[in-house]
Amino acid sequence: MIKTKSAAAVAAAFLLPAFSVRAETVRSPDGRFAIETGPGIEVVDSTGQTALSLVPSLNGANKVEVAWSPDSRRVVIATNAARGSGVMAAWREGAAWHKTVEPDSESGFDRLVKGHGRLVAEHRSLGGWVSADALTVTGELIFANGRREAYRYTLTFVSSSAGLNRGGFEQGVLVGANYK
Amino acid sequence: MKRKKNGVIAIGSSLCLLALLAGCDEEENPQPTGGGQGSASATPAEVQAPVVAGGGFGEPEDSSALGSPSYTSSSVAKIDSDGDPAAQGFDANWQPDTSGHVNGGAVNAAVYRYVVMSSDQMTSSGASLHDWATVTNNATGQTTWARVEDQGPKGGTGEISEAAATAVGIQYTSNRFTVGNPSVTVKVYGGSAGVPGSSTSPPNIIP
Repeated sequence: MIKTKSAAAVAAAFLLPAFSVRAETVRSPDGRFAIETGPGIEVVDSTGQTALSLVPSLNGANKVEVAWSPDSRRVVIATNAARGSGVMAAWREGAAWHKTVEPDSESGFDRLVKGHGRLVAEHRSLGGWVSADALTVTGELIFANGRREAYRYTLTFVSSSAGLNRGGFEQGVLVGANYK
Repeated sequence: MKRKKNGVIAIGSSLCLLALLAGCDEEENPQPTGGGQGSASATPAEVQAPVVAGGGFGEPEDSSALGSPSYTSSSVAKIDSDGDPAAQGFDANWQPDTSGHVNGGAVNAAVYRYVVMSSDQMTSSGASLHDWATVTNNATGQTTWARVEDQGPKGGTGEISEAAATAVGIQYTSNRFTVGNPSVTVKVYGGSAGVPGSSTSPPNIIP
């Protein structure tokens, strides 16, 4: 638990940076859990036991970024392959872990892409947490005509779930907004 | 085999021609003699085009083991030339490597029939690299087996390797743009990577 006295110090506590790892272990701030990568991605407890399996394979990703929330209750993982990226997340309610994935289709993202021709590659990187349940994400779009466009948005955990998809991920929990 | 001619890659495989002929053989029943209604004949849209063997990967030895597709999309086809050294300098978006590897290296798009999925598409459908897939040319019904071997950008659909495109009769230019706007349906069978293929020289894939 972070104990601070000034508002500035409290604000700074949320701005924990994400960092890049490759087949590594990334512990939560409270040390109770960790994300282990390679060959897949898992949440493990302090004894190394699997608490939640996110994906069994990195599917060719060559870069994995992990960002734990300051309260250790949420974690966001960004994977990047040569031409595409993915964002998934896990969160804890009591003793139970849940997982979700950011969907491809979001109105803000679709607006960025529209009208520029075929998108041939894109990458994303995790920024800092701006609140207990939201963090910034930056990205780059690469189009077939050579155009490159940098962008950023806020990724927020929302409380409602729209059920499980075929991959076993809860839907509708991660929402991207404020695309610019 | 491909032969470059006037900037258009000509289709040299006889397999596609055979597939078309096989489809034609399954047309309407002969007119019945006597009165009464004859049996309904299959319209061209209902004819099942034979699935062409998977080229490089072969086809799944036991397609019944694949179950039902976990992911399906229909969209305009795009050509992925990643892994094909001959495409360098022609395809402005060419990458030397692919997300999936065979025999320890990139999956050559000119040799192997593969499809491309985004990370979310794989994650949300329970699919992974090396899973089996089918690619169907929506205009002709030609279908081929393929595997998922590359990860593409968010929201991308219809991206298939050069070999997959050729197998279903889709032509493309030297810069890997399709001729016309052919539409394909891609079906992926999540969790099927371990089903062996029938290729006589199977590539080394580690699911």
